[in-house]
Amino acid sequence: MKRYIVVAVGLLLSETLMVLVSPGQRPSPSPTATATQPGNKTDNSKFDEAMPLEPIERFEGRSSLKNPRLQAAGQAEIQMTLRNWTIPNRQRIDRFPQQGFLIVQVRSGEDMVTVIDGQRQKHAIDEFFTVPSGSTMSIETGDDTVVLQTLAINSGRAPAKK
Amino acid sequence: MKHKDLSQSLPLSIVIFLMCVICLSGCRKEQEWHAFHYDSMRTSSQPKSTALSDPAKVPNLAVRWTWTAPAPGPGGNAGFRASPVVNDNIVYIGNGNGFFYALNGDTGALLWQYPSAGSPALVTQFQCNPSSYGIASSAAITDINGTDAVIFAAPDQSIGMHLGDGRLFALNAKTGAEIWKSPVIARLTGLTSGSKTEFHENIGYSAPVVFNNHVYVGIGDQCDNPIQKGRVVAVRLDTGAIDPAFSYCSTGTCGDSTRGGGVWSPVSGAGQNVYMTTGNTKSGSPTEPSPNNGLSMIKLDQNSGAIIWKFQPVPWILDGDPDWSAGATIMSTSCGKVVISTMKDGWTHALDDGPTVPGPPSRRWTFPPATIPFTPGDGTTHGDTRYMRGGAAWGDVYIAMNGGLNLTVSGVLGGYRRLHAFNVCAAEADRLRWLIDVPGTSPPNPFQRYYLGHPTVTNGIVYVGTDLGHLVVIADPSLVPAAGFRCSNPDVTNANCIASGYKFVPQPAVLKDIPLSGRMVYNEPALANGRVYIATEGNNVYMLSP
Repeated sequence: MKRYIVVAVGLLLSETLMVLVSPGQRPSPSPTATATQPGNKTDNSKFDEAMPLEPIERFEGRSSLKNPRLQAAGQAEIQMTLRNWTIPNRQRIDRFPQQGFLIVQVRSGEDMVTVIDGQRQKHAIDEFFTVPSGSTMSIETGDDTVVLQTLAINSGRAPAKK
Repeated sequence: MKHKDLSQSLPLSIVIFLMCVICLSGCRKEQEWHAFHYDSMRTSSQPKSTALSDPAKVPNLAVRWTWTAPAPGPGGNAGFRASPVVNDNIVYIGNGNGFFYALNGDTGALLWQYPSAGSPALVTQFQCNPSSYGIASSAAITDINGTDAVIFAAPDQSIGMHLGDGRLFALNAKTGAEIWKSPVIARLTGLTSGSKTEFHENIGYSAPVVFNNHVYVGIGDQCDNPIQKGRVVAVRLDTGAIDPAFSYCSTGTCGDSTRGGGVWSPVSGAGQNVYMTTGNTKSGSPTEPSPNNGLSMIKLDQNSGAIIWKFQPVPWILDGDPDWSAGATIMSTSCGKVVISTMKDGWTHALDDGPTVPGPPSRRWTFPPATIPFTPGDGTTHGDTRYMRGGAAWGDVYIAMNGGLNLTVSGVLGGYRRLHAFNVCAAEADRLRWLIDVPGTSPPNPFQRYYLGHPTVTNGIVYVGTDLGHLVVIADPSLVPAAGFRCSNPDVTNANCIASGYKFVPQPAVLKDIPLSGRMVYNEPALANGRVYIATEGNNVYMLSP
């Protein structure tokens, strides 16, 4: 949890500046990501019937950022949600349901591919990656069950003060 | 009438001759390696002192012969994932090419193979990972009606739906002639990915154990595609017929449609009981089966298969597929009989063998320490990670892969190249005896999971194969002074160790590091008659001696 907070603070600053303040620009999900090529589509026969995703809630809390610009814009309040997701083998999740800016860690599973805004990437165990707020992420698993831990950060307007 | 002492009635030379004959047959047997992990208790330990247990002689260890298996035919895959067993100076092992071989222990010359050259190989049509490449299961040596026999499991396309159902074979150990072939044990009734109507069972790595005049073997699946109902099957040793009196299924009833709890690991046997570990149940199942004996270490009645106790540290809600791939090792220790194993998630659990009548087991300890069962809020993750190899038992010491004290903080990768030795009976503070990052392994790589094979031990000298094809020999610090000391938490520097609340533990000396050819991450070194026999995925069998 501690390392998530450390990573989150750094990433959150850039994310809030890039996404909230300059909504026209979004960070790349990964510097090594490659665009999905025509003809590189996945084979539907590799996947089983979709299973419902039932995350385990690990933490949920709110915090305020001491950033004058965000405070002035009423966007200093953030909500953080830490969840574990177990995704069986041979699954394709067309749209990962967790919303917000995501910091994701692959906790287990050898054979996982994400497609984030059309960019396809294979991930390794213990790897961290981010998903920009508003992006679409699909997930494909191979022969292994995958366990992901996500820290979702969403902006939340602070209650109005009298 | 008082009998005269035999030695008083026979010339001394005859007595000495008889003693030598007895020793050559009996003592020799005790130095062999008759089963995967040495014996039915799966101790992975050669108790007899030989040159392999002499620290002064081990540095002279060298390759004496190498034998390379023929290239695979159709449907076969090169490489040994099984490990050798040894009897009467003959080495027995199956290959991914679907053939089983007997080699002269002195020379490596091929004595016989099964099936014979030109006959169809023992391979399956459902191949998705090395557990289904030809013969992945190690053999067992036994006696069937006065004949030395070797028993192994393999897929066979001559029976069932002709796709490669799993069955057991018993062969004359000297000639390779068939003694019996069991009926179908692992059913393969189709090849449709994800099918819930076909059986996709697999014997895989579950080495058969000979015990109680039966042969027991575990049933898993074909890389969880989809998971099958885990089972243990017992066949009669004399005939190979399935014993209907013995029945064990991991979920629900044996006849229902629940799935999971595959028995991937070698079944163990001791006393009146059979022991085994089981795999996941959650994958592809929306609801928890009842009963759910998945992800458990289990003690069964040897005759009926009834559960005596079950230890299930990871509840269904946390089942991220930490199949229990290492089997149960039964240790006879100064604190009693202990059943111990490392789960795929990196935790090692030691249980007191406990009751012989149904009842809960008593957990002696878990390492790294944890509250059991795990809970969703405890910060732990239990996924498809790679702490999959069995451990080795030496007195009160258990040597195995383990996630280490930094497991929940630093993730699972660090421990993949590391062996831990545990003082099984000691107090918690003295649990960790030593740890070592095994040399001859690849640098840490997030895309690589397999670094070490199964360790074996002889009187404190540990043998283990690596992913780079090295055979590494390590000495317990009680035999050879440690190479140094390191913090019990591998992430903490020595300078900060004590202040951080940890202690120093020895880093044992490496007596020998021999490069061979081919990965040895599925294999164990068999320590027989003062020799090391080990096979590799490079398709070679090696004999080494000091």
